[in-house]
Amino acid sequence: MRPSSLLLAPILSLVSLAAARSATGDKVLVVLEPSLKKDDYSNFWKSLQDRGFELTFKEPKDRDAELVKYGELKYDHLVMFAPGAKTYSPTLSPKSILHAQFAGLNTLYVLSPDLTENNKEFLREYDLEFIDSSQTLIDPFNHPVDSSSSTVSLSPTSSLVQDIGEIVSPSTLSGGPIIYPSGTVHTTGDNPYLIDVLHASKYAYIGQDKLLSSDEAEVDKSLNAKGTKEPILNGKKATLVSALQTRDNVRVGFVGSTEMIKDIWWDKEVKTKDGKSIKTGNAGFISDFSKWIFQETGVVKIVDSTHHRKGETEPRELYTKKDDITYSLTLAKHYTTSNGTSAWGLFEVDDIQLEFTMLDPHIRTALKQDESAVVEQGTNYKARFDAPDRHGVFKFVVEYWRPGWSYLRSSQTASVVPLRHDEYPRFIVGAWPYYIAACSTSLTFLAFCALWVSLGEGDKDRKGKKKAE
Amino acid sequence: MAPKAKSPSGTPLKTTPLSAPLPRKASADILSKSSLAVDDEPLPSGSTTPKVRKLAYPLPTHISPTTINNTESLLRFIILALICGAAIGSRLFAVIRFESVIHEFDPWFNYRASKVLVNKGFYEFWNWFDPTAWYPLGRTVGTTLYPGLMVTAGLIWHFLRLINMPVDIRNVCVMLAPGFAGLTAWTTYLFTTEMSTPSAGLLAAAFIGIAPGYISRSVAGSYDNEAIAIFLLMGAFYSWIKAMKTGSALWGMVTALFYGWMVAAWGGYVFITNMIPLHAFVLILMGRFNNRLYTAYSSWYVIGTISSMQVPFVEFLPIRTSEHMAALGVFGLLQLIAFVEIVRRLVPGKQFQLLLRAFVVLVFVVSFAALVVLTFSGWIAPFAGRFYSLWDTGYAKVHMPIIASVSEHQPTAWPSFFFDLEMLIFFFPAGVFWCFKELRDEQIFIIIYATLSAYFAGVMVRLMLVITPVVCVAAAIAFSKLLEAYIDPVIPESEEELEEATAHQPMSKAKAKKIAAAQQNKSEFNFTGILGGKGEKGVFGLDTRFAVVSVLSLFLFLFVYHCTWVTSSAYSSPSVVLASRNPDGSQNIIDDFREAYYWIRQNTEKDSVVMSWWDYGYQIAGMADRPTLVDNNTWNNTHIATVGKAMSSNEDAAYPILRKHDVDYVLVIFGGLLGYSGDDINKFLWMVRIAQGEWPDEVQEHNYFTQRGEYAVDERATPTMKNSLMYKMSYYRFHELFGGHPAQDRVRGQQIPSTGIQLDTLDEAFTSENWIVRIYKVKKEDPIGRELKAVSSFEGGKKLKKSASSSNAALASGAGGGRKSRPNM
Repeated sequence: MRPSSLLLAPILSLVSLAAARSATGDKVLVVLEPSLKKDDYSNFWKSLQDRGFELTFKEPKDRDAELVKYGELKYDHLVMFAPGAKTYSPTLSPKSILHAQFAGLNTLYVLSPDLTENNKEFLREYDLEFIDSSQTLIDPFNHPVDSSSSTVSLSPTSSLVQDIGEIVSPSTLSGGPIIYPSGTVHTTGDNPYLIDVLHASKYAYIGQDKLLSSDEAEVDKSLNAKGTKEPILNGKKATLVSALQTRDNVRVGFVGSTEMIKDIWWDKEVKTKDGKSIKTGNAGFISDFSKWIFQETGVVKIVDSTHHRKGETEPRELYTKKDDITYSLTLAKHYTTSNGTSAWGLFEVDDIQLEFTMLDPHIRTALKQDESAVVEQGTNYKARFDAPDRHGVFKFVVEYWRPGWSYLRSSQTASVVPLRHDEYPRFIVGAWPYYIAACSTSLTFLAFCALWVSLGEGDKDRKGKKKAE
Repeated sequence: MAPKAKSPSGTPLKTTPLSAPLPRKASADILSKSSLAVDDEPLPSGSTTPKVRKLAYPLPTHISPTTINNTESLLRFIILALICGAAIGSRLFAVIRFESVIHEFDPWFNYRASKVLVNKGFYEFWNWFDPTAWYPLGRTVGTTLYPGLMVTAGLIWHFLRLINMPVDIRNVCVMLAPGFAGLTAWTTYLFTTEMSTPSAGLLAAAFIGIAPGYISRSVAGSYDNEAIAIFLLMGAFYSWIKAMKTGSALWGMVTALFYGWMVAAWGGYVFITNMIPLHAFVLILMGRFNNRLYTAYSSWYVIGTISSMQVPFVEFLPIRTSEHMAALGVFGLLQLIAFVEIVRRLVPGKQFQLLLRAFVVLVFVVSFAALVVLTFSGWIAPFAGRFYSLWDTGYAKVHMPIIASVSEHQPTAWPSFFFDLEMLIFFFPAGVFWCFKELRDEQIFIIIYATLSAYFAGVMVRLMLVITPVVCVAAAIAFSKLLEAYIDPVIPESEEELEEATAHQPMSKAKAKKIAAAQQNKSEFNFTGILGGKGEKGVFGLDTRFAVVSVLSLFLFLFVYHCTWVTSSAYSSPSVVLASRNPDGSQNIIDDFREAYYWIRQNTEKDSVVMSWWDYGYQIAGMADRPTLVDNNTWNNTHIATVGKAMSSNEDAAYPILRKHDVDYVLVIFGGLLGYSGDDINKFLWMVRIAQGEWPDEVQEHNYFTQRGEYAVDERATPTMKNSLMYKMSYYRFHELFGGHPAQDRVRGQQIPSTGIQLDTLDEAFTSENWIVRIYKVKKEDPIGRELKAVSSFEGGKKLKKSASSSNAALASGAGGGRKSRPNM
């Protein structure tokens, strides 16, 4: 909110790590539940390591799994692979995780139907509501033929939410089905920072993965007992994967199924009902999603923002009313070069606006891309406007808030002041009557005095007589 | 016309029939009497009849009149110098007790402006735009203040540097008021001398020098406009009287310069703007129009108005507002009358004169009607609200709570007249009576001044300042008349003798005495009263004289004692530093304000915005150097009401206001621990009222009173009161101080409930030693989009249950919290 502060806080601070592809850093802590086998997910770990991340594995109860040490983050990213853990070491308690996230820790939560009540309560802080434990998503129509109906097969085009920046890459969108085996389901609340990423198909519903024939009476009972009260979550309301980007651009992801990351679905072929074999899209989707969470994609930063008066180059603290002001903003997008290093490049959009605000925006204008500007990296945008005829403390505000992209905010303060005493125009046409009046009065007075003096006191009587006559 | 003034200026009293020869009365003061004996005042030719006078006590006979005259002048000078010294000295309590510090609220702004003036120069000061005041509206300071005070201090500062005395501007500011108080004593002396005698002048100077009514505004450190305004007021009045008496355009110009300086220095200049025309108007009505009045008034009005229009803050007000119309009207009237006078002199003939009179009346009526039309059509601004509140004392309370909320705008309580003026208030009517008795042109001025200011002082405490000079002058006149009567050694002749004398020579009693005085060498004396063998009856016996004079002296001693006591105990507190007594009698300095302001200065970002009630705006800007939302320059009622609303609403309603105005810190004054009664809870109802004026639907005063109509802060307090931001900030963690015992608010004498107060949107940042100043930091929005209430319950270890969550969501969507909308920055 303060002048010349670019509140892109955590991203800017750690850019220098050249080897990493992430914009923020490459140290990853994986908190893995002991009941889950690390080797079952080896492809996932390998893909992370290939992208340049250093993985550190800890168990939920490990006391040395510290996120913050001496006030500084020990890791840049966190993978919480422990949905069923009942207790956590104090360093991994909900509060410490949340505080670490406020400090810049990107987190990927991998969840499952075994989610404990404690974890659910914690996840409500993000405004997520999970279904009861032991219930899973079931789709009797869309599942690989050799799996049960709880192994839901999702078509990328219909189940992935589109237009959310770079969270999902085009190849994943056009790729094979995403298998979502025995996963939990959540709903996202009103939280404006939440982004739905993957939701269920319209045939899917929530239930227990049991054969219907086993005990109809039991099914009836369960339906009457609970199903009537619960809101029916199906179709697009049933969110499977969602993401949250905080005000400070820290990213948190929620994946509803541990199984979908398993090696058995990683780049494997599955048979569909019509007998075809298709490669699953899990690997692509999980990579895309983790890339986004770990700040590899969809990261935009403000390189520079400045303003100046026409004919000048340096920003001023005080502008005069009606000044011709130019505002310039340079944005850069993070990308990974072909040799695996982090770099910043062009970011070209056409919907950025500048607001010149004092309590309310006095001027709102489009920032146009300026091709002619020479910038080291990124894209330059410019807007030119006349300062309003109102003095006060104004802010140049740029807010760019699109799901899937970093939240861009820039606010710079400058005052607009009235004209100085010697800056007003002089000898304007409208003032001529006054000039003439002043001059003529003075001259007349002088003439009067001259007459008075020359005629003298002696003449007075004569004049008086004349008048009387 | 002016050069044509026919009457010689040396004898001003002979022109109009009503002010016909009323020779100055001989003073009873022996010294001045002898000075009068050599006065060049023409004595009526027939008054030389030798006459033996009776004296009540012997007088030295061998001293020459010149010696007496010189001694008198020397004594007068020494006395005046001593009075100035006393006036300055009695204002130094604050500096001696505390330190050389700027007092109260407004002086802090003046001091800050003076620093800008001396550090950056006059043009920067003139064009100064202060982005830290009234954030984010800003204030164009240079054109919204009366620069006279700062410019005066700046000139003094530059002068001192010129003579190689590098003094800190702060010390110049602190000592400015006492210095000008000394000058006020001097101008009051001159003014009263014009009205009466030099001895009355000396008394008046002594009175104004130490009268608490004036000291209250001019102790050292009270660097406010009033500090120099009273000097300018008396200077302007003195030179006006002088101009009116002598008919000199030079004196008229001096008046105008004093007036211009006054306009630059204080908004109260309107008083002069209306006093002088009123005086002139009354003189015209009394048929005392003459060329001297014409010259004096015209030169004052023209030069004065032009010079007042040079002040950027005043600009075109003198020709566009109702307050200034009287001066313009009288100016026009004088031109007409002067014109008519000339024509009448040249054109004899009764019908023609009648016609002319009708013409004058007609023009007057027409121009008055034009004025009214212009006012209603909006070209001339009607009276400002503050002036309405002078006529209708209930007006401000209904229409402008912002004005009524200022304590110095309250009606004056009777005791404060005595408190501020002691015995002077009793002598005051007597002095006015004496003015009626003589009723010379200048004494009419005193009468008008007394009447107007007596009314104004009754309406507003603040205007006690305006009545103080005239009370001092009138009381001094009355006092000196009394002393005169009882010290004068001449015993006037009894009735029979007098009749004899008047039969012989038609002259007044006073004249008779005068003649007697002229021949004092031939007088004989005999002791009267008890001392004399034969009883001299009546009030002229020595015993009566002694009794009365000693009682009067006792009055004077009591007056000095009272003034010193009031100054020392009531008017010398800087209010930024408080003093209290320990049980053992030693002094305990309470320095919470400066402690807190320096904490802000050293621990917060340079551009953090501090919100507080407007009383503390100038102090925060001056001492903490941080932007404020509102300050003592209460020009924007809406902005103040916004702060009032934030303070009086609950956290949910207040938080968006705080965020919208970029507030980083909120500062409240809380006196409950120490018993400091000027705290924000006591001012709270005004915040509510002012906020209600703007948002009657959202803030309602009656919600802050209990069902029985009490203003309570204990258990009986209403939920609205308890949930208001102000209440929460004041009593946050208060009960913890008492370690389980009931928490006692010492200002209101009520027990604060010991249930903890939870603040969700604010963090306590600082609380001063005695809890007078409490500062809270405004929390930022939660990074993951939770309500701040939810954040604090999470931090408090509470877990979100399913039901709670859903009801929260319902509440959020129902209340239109705008959560799914774009978050605020």
